[in-house]
Amino acid sequence: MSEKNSSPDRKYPTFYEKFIPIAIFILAVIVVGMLIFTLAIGVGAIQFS
Amino acid sequence: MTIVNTLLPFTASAISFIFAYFVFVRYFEKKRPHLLLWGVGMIFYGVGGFCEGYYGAFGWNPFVYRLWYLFGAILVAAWLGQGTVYLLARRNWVHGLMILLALGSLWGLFKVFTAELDPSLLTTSLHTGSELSGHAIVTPGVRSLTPIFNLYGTVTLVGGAIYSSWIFFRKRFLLHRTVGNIFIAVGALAPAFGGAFSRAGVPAALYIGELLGAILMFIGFRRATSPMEENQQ
Repeated sequence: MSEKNSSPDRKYPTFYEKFIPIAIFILAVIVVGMLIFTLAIGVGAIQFS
Repeated sequence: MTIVNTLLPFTASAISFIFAYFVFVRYFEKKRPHLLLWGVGMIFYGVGGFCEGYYGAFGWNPFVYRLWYLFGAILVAAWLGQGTVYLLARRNWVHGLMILLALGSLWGLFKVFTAELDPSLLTTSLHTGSELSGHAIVTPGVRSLTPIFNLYGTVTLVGGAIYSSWIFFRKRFLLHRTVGNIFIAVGALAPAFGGAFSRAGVPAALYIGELLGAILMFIGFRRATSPMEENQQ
């Protein structure tokens, strides 16, 4: 039975291995935050002049 | 006229047109629709920046203001984002979205160029006054178009870049594309943050955000299209 491994054998250089997932996470949080904020304005929960 | 409200937007405009040139060169090599849409989007970005610089240098002009609002405030993000949709989806329904975007853009053109303007309302208590704002459009139903286009554009452009970056990272494949897409995502968010800080009363925030956005997206595009050395184990 083969064992699934989410991390491939190939690796990026160390700096990119550490930096990229952090950057992607921060960007994803910002986009989700913007969507929630926009939704809140849309339903009138936040007044924005 | 200040350096902030003339030099920054004119520089952003020049970078956008140079960026568009590189994108169109790649389009004529590859003939892929996403490159055409990105090129058009960067032309819109450049027109928006030029109009802002014009306002800073020469003051109010209704035609230039309408151009700025149409291309710089309404259309730019959506057309760039539609390019990303073409890149990632490659399905028939993408053409349907393109038709909707084209019709919506024509509707925006009609609304912006028939809207009543009041330049005395250009600045509000929260606005810095050094940057253009949409408050001068007094006809109802015009400014409400902006968040619809910008939400679609931001979600597709930034979300698409993040998604691409994650896919390449997960497979540890094409490092230059992973890094390039992160730059594109950050660059695409910069004008949105600039606009938010400008509304909150931070002087020059919008124009700084737009300049940073043009630079970072250009770097991202160049990075994503230029392979870099990878240490693979």
